[in-house]
Formats: sequence, C-alpha cells, structure tokens
Amino acid sequence: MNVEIDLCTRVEGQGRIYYSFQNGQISSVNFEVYGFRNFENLLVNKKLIEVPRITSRICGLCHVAQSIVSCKAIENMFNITPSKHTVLLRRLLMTGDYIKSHIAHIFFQTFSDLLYILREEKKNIAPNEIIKYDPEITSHAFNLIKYSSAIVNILGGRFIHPVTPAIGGFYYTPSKRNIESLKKYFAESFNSLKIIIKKFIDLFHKISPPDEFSFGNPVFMGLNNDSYFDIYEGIIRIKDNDGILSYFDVNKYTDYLKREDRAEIYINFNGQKELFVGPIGRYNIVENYGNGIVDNYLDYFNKTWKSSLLFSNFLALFELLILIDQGISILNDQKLTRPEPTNSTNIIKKREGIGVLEAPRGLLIHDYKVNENKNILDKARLFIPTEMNIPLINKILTRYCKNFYSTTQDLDRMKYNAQIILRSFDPCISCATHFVNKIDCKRCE
Amino acid sequence: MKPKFSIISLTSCSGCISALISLDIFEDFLEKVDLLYFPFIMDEKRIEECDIFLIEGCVIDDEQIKLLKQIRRKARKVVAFGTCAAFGGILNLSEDINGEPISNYIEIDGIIPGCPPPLKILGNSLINLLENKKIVLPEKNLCYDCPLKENIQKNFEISIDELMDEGYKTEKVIPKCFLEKNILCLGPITRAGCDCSCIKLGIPCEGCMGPLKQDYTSIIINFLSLLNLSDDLRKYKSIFFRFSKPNL
Repeated sequence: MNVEIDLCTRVEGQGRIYYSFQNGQISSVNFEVYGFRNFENLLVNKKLIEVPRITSRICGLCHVAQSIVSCKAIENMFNITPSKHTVLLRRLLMTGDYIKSHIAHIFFQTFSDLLYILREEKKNIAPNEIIKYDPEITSHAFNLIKYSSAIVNILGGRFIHPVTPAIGGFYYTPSKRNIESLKKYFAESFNSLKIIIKKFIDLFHKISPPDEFSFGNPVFMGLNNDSYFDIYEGIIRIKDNDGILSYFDVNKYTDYLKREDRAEIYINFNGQKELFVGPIGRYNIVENYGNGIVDNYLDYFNKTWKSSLLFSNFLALFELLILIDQGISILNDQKLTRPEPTNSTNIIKKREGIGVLEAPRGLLIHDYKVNENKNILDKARLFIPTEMNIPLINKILTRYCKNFYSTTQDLDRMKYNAQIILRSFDPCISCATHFVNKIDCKRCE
Repeated sequence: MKPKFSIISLTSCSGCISALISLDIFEDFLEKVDLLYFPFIMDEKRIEECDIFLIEGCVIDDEQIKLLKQIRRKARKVVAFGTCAAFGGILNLSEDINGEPISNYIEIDGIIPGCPPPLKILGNSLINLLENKKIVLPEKNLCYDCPLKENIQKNFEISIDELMDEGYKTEKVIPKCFLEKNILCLGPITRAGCDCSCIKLGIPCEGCMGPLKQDYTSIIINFLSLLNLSDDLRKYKSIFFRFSKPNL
C-alpha cells in the first residue's frame, strides 16, 4: 500500500491528511492531528485552583471555553451553583471569544474557498489579496477581531488566556465605565456583523454548493436549553440519523461517547455512528434559534445549502449575531454590577466532576477525578469537539477522494479540494492533541 | 523591497498567532511584508529563504529539531515568538513531555515573550523587525511596575502558604503585596511589560512573560532561598515550572 501525506493549511494547529492507495486507487483518507501535547497527563497532580488557568493554554482560540468548562467540572464536584453575576459574566466572556474564533476562521481561512468554489475566483488567494477583495468586509472583519480582543481583555483581564474565570466565581465586577465600553463594543460588533452577513448572503446564497460538500446523515449533537440554542448550559441533545431527537445528561456521557485508543470519538446510539458537532450540529438540534433577524436570514438558503458543510460559515455568523444580541441585553442587567458570595469550596461532595459547554467548534466536556481531601487532580479526561468530528471528516474525505480520483486521476486537484472539505469543519487541532497517532508521522517536504 | 516574512508554529496552542491577527497593525503588516510562509492563513507548504522567521511554540521532537535547523539556514533573522518558543512554556508542567525553547537547538536573534505577548510589545517588536531594528523589551522585573509596591515593608520575611488569592470570594481585595500576604507571586523573577494586568485584578503574577535572563535556574535558586515555603508548597512546585523549566 502506498501512502501520500499532505500538510493541512489554513486551519488552527498542525494536521495532516493521509491518502492511502491500493491498486492505483484511493482506499482510504484519514485526517490526523499532529503534535502530542497530552494535557490529560499534564493536569494530574495539579491543585484544583490552578486548573482553569492551565486548561486555557490548551487552545489559543477557544481558551475561554476551556477555562470555563474547567470551572464547571470542579463546581460539579463540589456541588457549587455559581451566582447569576458569575454566569452572566461568563456568558459575556464566552461571546467575546466566539467572535474572534468564528471571524478569524471565516475571514482568513475559508473566505477564499467560498470565492474559489462558488464565485470561480482563482485558487490560493493570498492574505494580502483577500484583504483587497472587498474592503468593506475586510474592515468589518478586522473591527470584529479588535472588538473581540477588547471584550475579552476587559472581562478576562487579558485578551487571550483570561485570568478572571474562577471556581464558583469570577475575579471581576465591571465598573459603570467598563459596562459603557462593553456596550459600545457589543453594539459596534452587532453592526459590523450585520454588514458582513448581508455581503456574504449577496455574494453566495444564489449559487448552490457542489454535492461533494454535503454532510450526509450523521448524528447531530449540541447543548440545548429548554429547546433553545445555548452555549453555556443545558442538557445534551442528539438528533439521530432518522431525525428523532433524544437527550442525555452530561453525567452519563460515557454511556454514549466512545473513544478507543485514538483521538476519534464516536457516539454509541443504536449502534456506533459518526457525530457532527459545531455550528451545524447546534443548528440541527434546535427547532429554531428564537431570533427573528436570524430566521429571516435563514430563509435565503435552500435545502442544498442547509445540507452543505459550507453552510457552517453562515451559521457561525448567525450564532455570533444571536450571542451579541443576548450580550447587549445582559449588559443592561443590574446583577452584572453586584457580586454575590458563593458557597465554600472546602468540602468535596463527590470525587468526580464533569463540566460541559459549547466551545466555538462544538460540545466540550472535561471530566476530573480528585484526590480525596487534598484538592489535587488525580485524573482528567477531555472530550474535544474536533475529536468528535474526526470520524465524519474521514468518511466524507474518503467518499469524495475515491470518487474524484477514480474519475479524474487528478491528484493535485483532489488534494486541494480535500483541504477545502477538511477546512469547512474548522478543526481545532491544538485542542485535539491528546493521543499519539498510530501512523508514524513524517513531515512531508 | 518588502521584507520577506515567514511564521511557523511548533508545539503550541496558537495563542500567539491569535495575538498576531488581533493586532491593530495586522492589516498594515500584511501589506508591508512579502509573506512567504504562514500556514494559519495561507497555502504555501515549502520553507524558502527569508529575512525574518517568527517561530511560535516549543520543541518536543526530533522532527522539529531538523525543521529548526532548516529554518536557521534559510532565515536571516529567527525570532522566538511567545513564551513557549522563548522559554519552553506551559508544557514544562508535563511529566511525560519535554517542551524546550528553540534556543536549545538553534541560535536566535531575539525573543518576543508573553503567553501570549502583550499587544503593545508584540506590535512594537514587529515594527522594529520591519525597520531592521532590534526588538526592545523592558529590562526590569514586574515589581518595578507593580501598583502594590507603594506601601511595601522593607526586609520582610517571605513566608508563603498559598498559591492564589481567592479575592473574588471576599468583599474587597486588600491592596498589599502578595508576598506580604503569604501568597506566592512570581513578579520578582518575571519580566515587566504586561501592565500588571493580573495583579490589578487581585491575582498574583504567574510568570507568563518569562525570566529576564535565559538562566532561569540561578534565578529560581536565588528566589527560593528567600522564600519560606509551607510544607504543602515545598512539595508542590508546579508554579515554578509553569512557563519555564529550571535545570535543578
């Protein structure tokens, strides 16, 4: 068997695509994360109070989600219910992080793919060309990234790797002046986002995305709060291949989510199946987003669009609009300026704690076990959204490459298009580096 | 002629890259340089001759060492971008992975420290690199800038029994040096430049800007000799390994 390796570009972190050939045809295509970081081991023997600061370093793009899910897992262990004040500040901070994560991906990583596939622009549009393509989109995308940094900086104390999320609380209460600044950044973000959405709809909605981007029939999974879209709390909802909705509590996650000796996570639900998490997963498990503006935007898209991987770009923008809209209301909540005491963290209620939330790229679970009395972590298990999407990524890549290569024998174009398919999943590779890959990794020159 | 620029990530969280794209001069930067290699936002997979190479992340395997040597041959200036590349970074907490700074393997022409580097330091460093000047960093420790140093006692005995202030649980944080409050703060052995953003929130310094000198071991030994650590913390030194590993 012959294997070709291709480095992934325009994604977060370092990944590789392995193309296996047999008898001159593609037999399988596998996406592999590269760079073993093993945070599960790194967290062992650490004091709980240090853990949220350490876990933020799992990822430079979803650092807020990693840090807050740590707090939630530890709170679960101590049976702490954080105050309204804390929850509101966490939600705002997460929104700040979502903005940069989604916009950076769409603008720097996939915008040129959309132009290439749907508008027949050339391949490999360089960053200095992309910023000239539509100066209005560019200036609003840069504004959003700046507002995002400013929001996280105010609420998190630092613009990346925040220090304010704490177990059972939040190390910060905004002053009136800070709230005014935040209101300005949220309002400006809302406006910039609406302009980008309008431009993107005009550019792309009339052109149907090609079939190879159809995501097929996976199991969708996401957090669901009283049937609404929610990134911070709720129960886990799944939509099976036949469209039937089910729920499970995060404390039962090991009954459903299965991982063997590799990074990949499958769902065990009427058999082992591929999962889809992230914007498309979240969209498919809610009845509607409950936001009138977004409902109107959704009407622009036909069924082909809504079953295409490329739709995740639009859904990511819509999610931001909902979150920013909710953020604007939160900023008017008086509870934001009034910290409330939380109950003590001295008594461990149970030795295991599980936290869940929606990171920008999908459902994120941290599961910790603690050393009795000592407040020291004994074991950590991290379930990362990208790891949940890997089986579906591999299935779609293999299906596409087999067909394309057998009909065209055009290796270069196949590889280029496979990268576009992978990119549309917005993999977060730094997050997903817990397992050593079986395939011996050799950097291709 | 525009300077030829390349940016690569080794083993990292991509936070420094995220900082780079957050800069208000980033759009300008894209216009002013001839960007040859930056896989986060472009497709080029080959490493070519260039003027400036920014390297993010630490070194964990032989493949990366080979790559570093290749980069050194091709680049006129190599800069360690962020605390992982400059000092090893967060993976120094790991018991099974050795995250090393790039300077363990190749000669470097400068560092831009921080986890991630503060925007002001990052922006100024890039401008200096573009103008072919040296990167200018604060050469003082964090205490020099610290807002809590005003009322500090002279020659107090430093007894440490806590890692972090749980200030958010109480009504008000007492504005007093953490070391005086028996809480560990790495300010004395950490480079200034972050505007003391954690300390201003009532959180002691964790040392993310890294030490002032590459010789972290002697700095740590000196610091530890001044500290009277509680029995609990004497056995728990993870904080000293958070961003840099002393060779003890």
